[in-house]
Amino acid sequence: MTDAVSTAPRRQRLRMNLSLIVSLTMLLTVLLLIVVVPLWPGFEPDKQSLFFSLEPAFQNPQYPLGTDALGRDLLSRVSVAARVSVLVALGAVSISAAVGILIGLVAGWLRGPVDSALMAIGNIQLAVPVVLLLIVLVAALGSSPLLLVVLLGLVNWVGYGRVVRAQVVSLREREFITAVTTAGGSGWWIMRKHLLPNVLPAVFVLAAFDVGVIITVESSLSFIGLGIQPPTPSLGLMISEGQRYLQTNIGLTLLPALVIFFLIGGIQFASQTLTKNPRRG
Amino acid sequence: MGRYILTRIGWGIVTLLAILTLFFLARLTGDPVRLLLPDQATQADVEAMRNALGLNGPLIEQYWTFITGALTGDVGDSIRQQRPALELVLERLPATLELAISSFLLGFIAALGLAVAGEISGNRKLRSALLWAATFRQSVPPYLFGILLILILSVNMGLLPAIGRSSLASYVIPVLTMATFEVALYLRLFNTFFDEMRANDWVRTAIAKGVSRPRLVVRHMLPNALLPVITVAGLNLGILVGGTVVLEMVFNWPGIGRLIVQGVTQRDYPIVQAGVVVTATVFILINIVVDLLYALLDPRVRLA
Repeated sequence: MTDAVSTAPRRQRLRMNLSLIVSLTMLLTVLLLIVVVPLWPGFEPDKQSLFFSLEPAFQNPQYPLGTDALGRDLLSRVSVAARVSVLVALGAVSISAAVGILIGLVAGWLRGPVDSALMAIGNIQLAVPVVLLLIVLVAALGSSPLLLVVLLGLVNWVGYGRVVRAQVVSLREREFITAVTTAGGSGWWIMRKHLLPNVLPAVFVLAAFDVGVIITVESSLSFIGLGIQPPTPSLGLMISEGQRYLQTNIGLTLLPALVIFFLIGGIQFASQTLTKNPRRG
Repeated sequence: MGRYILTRIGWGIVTLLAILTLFFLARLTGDPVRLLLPDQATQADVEAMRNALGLNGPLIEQYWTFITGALTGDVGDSIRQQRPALELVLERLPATLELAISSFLLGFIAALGLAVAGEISGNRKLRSALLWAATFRQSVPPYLFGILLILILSVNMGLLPAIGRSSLASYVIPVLTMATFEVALYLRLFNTFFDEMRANDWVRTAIAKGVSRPRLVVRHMLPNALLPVITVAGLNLGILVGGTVVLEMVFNWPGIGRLIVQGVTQRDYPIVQAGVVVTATVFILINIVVDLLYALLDPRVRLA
């Protein structure tokens, strides 16, 4: 918010705060779902009971939000699924960030042919739609949760690499870096001790928004059956299963849908507040 | 200009080669023949298949056959349908392009209209309401929004067909799903750039010399916002394509995305390969067009 001549700073701030409140409410609700539900005595995400198949919500105190086709408790399952989605996204984003930081530091510091080669690899990767790339990789390599985290992480480093590289390119001309070089600091030392702390803030901002993007991608993949595989609950999978009961038992679809909405919305509404840069759908 | 296009096409071919190499390497991690054949296949079937796919020679030779085959469009026959895979994919291409292009155009034009209208009105409440609506829309992934629209418009109200691509009415829900996603994205972008611009000296000068508000927005601000928005549009094509692939599963839409996913689940791997190559090619071509468009719009950009 740099526009100093903005005519209505108060109104602006009020609106911004509202979206931050919405964002925090959404994220806290999901956090509660993930952390508190497993402490509840009825928490049984995997127990099937065909007597209680497709129980509607708010009818049976044993299953507060109803059950799925196999008679598994929906509240428990959606809690585990939310946990899986969040952990997969956090893991994947950490990998993207780590790879991107490393490549960005090396490319920006060394410049020359190494830089050109690394950035060319990034450009090539950007020329393939991420979902398509993931479908190919999953088709060939399978999709255990851990592998999925690694693949989601590896296809998404380019943004981080570019941001870090751009910062390093300008940082390396600054006096404090020249001073370290004069004092005999090695390249590796400079990258670790002087450049890394300076690029981290930008990386954190990018990573925060990426969590929402990755949750979308992961749930889409799980929805079409190429992401998290059945015994493990996942939000996308629950929606694809619930879709069959849209006319009879709408809760099966709406509940995981609401969790996804809260997760992604929590991040999107924060972005409406914190940055004017919502460039990554 | 000509040289620039040639360079870009060169890079496009390099990109395709990289994808194919990745595909080839991924294939090496498992026995493709075992993957392709049903579990009850006999040893004789395996051998026959291995020969048919040319998997008995040295790796370099296999790689060469694989790459030249792919680049000349000969990726073999679909295993399930016994027809050239490329033919099957190209048959499905129009359905996918229709969905993606019409959603993009509708979404982009609607976003432009809404953003310009909001800016001309100067009504902060209207702008803020539009922004909130956009953020809400962005918080729902396309496939989920599609299901919700099916629920409301088909299941509850019975207005429109939910799946398939048989009549004009069956286009409404899929296009609406993807187009609203695009509207939200570009509305937020236009808004961001308008916000940044409003404080500029040239805007104040224009107001001071008595330029009307519609003229200020349409003739002065919009052309400046259009450039960065088109850049982002190029970057977001991947999200559009990815969203379409998944949407085709929701709506039973007979496009490339559904074909590829079916290929994966049925282990029909020539189909997957042909689908990926065709999609990547189209994607690369569109990116080149976006770059050229950019140069047309901004005389400062010199293509070298």
